[in-house]
Amino acid sequence: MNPNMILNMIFQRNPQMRNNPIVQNALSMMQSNNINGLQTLAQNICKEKGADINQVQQQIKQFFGN
Amino acid sequence: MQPFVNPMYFQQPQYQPYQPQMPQIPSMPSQSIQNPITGINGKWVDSFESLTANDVSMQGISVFPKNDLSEIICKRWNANGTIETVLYLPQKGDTEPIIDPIDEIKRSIEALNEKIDKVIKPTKAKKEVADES
Repeated sequence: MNPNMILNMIFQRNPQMRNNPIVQNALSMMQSNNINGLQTLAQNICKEKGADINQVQQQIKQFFGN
Repeated sequence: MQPFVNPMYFQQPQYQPYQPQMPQIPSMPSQSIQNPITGINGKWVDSFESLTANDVSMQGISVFPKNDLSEIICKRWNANGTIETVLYLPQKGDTEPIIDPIDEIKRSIEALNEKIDKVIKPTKAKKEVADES
């Protein structure tokens, strides 16, 4: 099972996710392989939440053991 | 005596079509389907500076009225990951009624016409009397 399948499964099983415009946008960008769009989306969310994108990136890498 | 012939001898063996065994996706515990949110998200605030991105719900619009009701802010997440903010201010009750400028011009023209009629009509009447005599 690849990450695409996992995300699709979560998206289908969670009705709240289905109605979330950010998730919808992220999924459509992921399906169309829009890497720049996804990067901008992540940057915007980090900026709004007052988080440093590099630190967040580091945390995600650590979570997945990289 | 006839030789025994097996009736299945001339039949081709029937094979089941190959069905590849797909790995089963582990089933997740089924979640109860939640109804769409019908209430309003948000909270009362003393100042808008205390609001953070975590206060804004990912579902729909969050409303933040000030405790003194002097202002209300509505916030929502955009699809591009930014937060859209709209500020609402109260309408004062003692504001003057809005006058339509076109109505005002029409009223002035009517008033002018009345004045002109008052000036012209008596002179016309005098002129007609003079012509008759």
